[in-house]
Amino acid sequence: MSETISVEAFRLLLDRAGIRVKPESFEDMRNAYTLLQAMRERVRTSRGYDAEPAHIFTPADR
Amino acid sequence: MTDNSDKPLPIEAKLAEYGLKVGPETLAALKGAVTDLETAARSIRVKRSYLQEPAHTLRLWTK
Amino acid sequence: MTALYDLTIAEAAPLLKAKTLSPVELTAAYLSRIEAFDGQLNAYIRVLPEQAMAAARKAEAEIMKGGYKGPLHGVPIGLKDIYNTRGIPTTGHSALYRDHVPEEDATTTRLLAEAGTILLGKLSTWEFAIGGTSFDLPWPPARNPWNLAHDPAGSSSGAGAAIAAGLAMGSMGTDTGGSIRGPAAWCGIAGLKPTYGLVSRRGILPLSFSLDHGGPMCWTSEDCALMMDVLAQHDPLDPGSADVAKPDFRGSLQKDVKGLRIGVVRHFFETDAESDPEIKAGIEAALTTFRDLGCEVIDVTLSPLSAYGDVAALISRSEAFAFHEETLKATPELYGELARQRIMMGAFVRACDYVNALRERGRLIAEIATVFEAVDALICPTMPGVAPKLGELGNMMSRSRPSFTRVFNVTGSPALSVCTGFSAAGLPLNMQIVGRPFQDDLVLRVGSAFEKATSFRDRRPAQWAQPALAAE
Repeated sequence: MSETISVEAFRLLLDRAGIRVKPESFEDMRNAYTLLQAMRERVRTSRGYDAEPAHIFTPADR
Repeated sequence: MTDNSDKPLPIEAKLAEYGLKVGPETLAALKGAVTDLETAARSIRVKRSYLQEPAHTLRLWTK
Repeated sequence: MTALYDLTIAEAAPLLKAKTLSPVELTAAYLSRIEAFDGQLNAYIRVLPEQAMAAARKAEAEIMKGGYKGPLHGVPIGLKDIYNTRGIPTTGHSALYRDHVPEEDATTTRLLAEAGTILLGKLSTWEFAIGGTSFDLPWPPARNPWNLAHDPAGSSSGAGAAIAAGLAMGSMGTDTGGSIRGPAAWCGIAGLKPTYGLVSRRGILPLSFSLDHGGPMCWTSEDCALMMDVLAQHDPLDPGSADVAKPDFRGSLQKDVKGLRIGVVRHFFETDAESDPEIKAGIEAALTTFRDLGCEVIDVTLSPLSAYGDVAALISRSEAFAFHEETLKATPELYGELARQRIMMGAFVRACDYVNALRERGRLIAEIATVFEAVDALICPTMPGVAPKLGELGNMMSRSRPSFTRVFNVTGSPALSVCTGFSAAGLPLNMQIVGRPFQDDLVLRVGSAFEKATSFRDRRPAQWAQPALAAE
C-alpha cells in the first residue's frame, strides 16, 4: 500500500488540476488518492513493445 | 498538462512527480518545450459537445 | 386472473397483438400504479402521463388497423434519465443538467419509439451515473422495492426499482462498472450489459466513453431478448458501434442449453473477494440446475479481480474527468458531493498511466478470449452480497470489496444478471452469466433457461400488489 500523500503535496496537486474541494471533502479525497496511487503502481509493470492499447484508431471507412 | 494557469507547477516539481532526473542543460531545454506543450494543451481545451467522442475506440470485432 | 403489472412483455405481447389487451388500458394501469406507489419508491424523476397516453392511443389505433409492429408495440417502458429524449429534459439526475433539453433522441430512444413502446417517464439514476447513493441532489434516490429501507444499487437505480415494483414493463439502464447488473441484482430482475458496440451509445450522457454500455432491464431474460431484437443495430453515429450481423435474440431462446460448457470463475468469489454465504449458496444451487439441464460445469481461472479493478478505475476516472473538467472547475457547486469527488479523481491519473491501463486492458481481453475457447459461458456472482441499507454504500473508491461486474466492462463481454433466489431476510440473491463478444443471444438463452427451470420469477415484492388491475 502506498504511503498517504502529504497535505501539502495533495494541495499542490489540487491546485495544479485547478479544482476546488470543500474543506470537509479534502481528507476523503486525500485518502482516495492513496488508493489511486496504488492502482497506478500496479499497472506500471514491464511490457513488451507488442503490448498495444486495447483502443485502436480506425479511419472513418468502417 | 492540466496545470491551472493561475498556479503553474514548477517543472522541477513535475519531474520529481514522475521520478525523472535531468541535468541543468536538459532542464533549460525542457522548460521551453514544456511551454510549447502547455500552449498546445490550452489550445485544445475548448468547449466540446458530449457527442464528440475520442477517435480511438474499443473494437472487439473483426471485419 | 393475472394482474396486469405481473405480465411480462412476452406474455403481454400476444394479448396486445390479438387486441384482447389495449395499450391504452395497459398504460393507464401503469400510470395509476406510478401515481399510487412512486412517492415511496422514487423510481421516476419525471413521469409523462399525457405523452404516454397519447402514444398509447396511437399504438392502439395502429394495432386496430392491422399495423402491429412486434412484441414491443404498446409496451410501457421507462428510460434512465441519461438517455436523451427530444424536447423532454434529460437531467442526469443533476442540478447541472436540470434545464438540459435535448434536440434529438438518443438512437436507442428512437429505436424503442419506432418499435411502438410507450414512454412512461424518465427514471432516477446516480448523478451522471457515478454519484450515488446521494441525498444532496435535486431529486431523492430510488429505494429498493423489496424493502424500502434498503438500497436498489446504482447507477440505474430507478430502472431496477421500477421493474421490480411493477412500475414499468421494460426499462433501459447504462453500465460503466456494473450499473445495469448491480441494480438488477439487488432488485431481483434481469439486466443485460450487452457486448461493447452492440447497442448504440449515441445520445446517452457519457460517463466513460470506452466503458459505457446501454442495455435492457426487465423482469425476465426473455423480455431482455425482446428488447435486444430492437436495440441491436449498427449506428454510424457511435464510433464504437459494431457493424456485425444481428443475432435472432428471441429465436435463440428456443434452442437447448444442453451440452453447453459453463465455466465457474470460482477464485473471484472464494479467494479474490469476500462474498456472503447466501450468495455463494445461490451460485452452487444454480450450478446444480445447469448440470440438471445437461450443461457441463468446470472451474476456470482469470486474472485476479484487482487487475480488472485497477484498469477500470484508471480508465473510467480519466475519461470522466475529460468530459467534466470544465464544469467541475466552473460550477463545482452544481454537482453532488459524491459525483464531484469521484470524477475529480481523474485529475490525478497521468497520461502514461491511462495509456498503460489501455495496454493492460488489451492483455485482459486476450486472456478471457483464451478462456472462452474452453467454455461457452462464465458464471460468477453479480454482487458479493444482498442490498445493504440505503446510505450504507461507501463514499469513495474501495479495494476491500472488489467488483465482479466491472471485469466485463473492461473486456466488453456481454454479461447478464439474474435472480438466484432470496436471502433469509427476503432480499434477492444474484448471479452473473457472461459470454463471448457478440454472443449476447447465448447469454440470454442461458439466463432464460435458468429462470424457466426455477421458480424465482414467480415471486414479486408483496408490498406493491395493489391496485391489482387484472388482465383476462
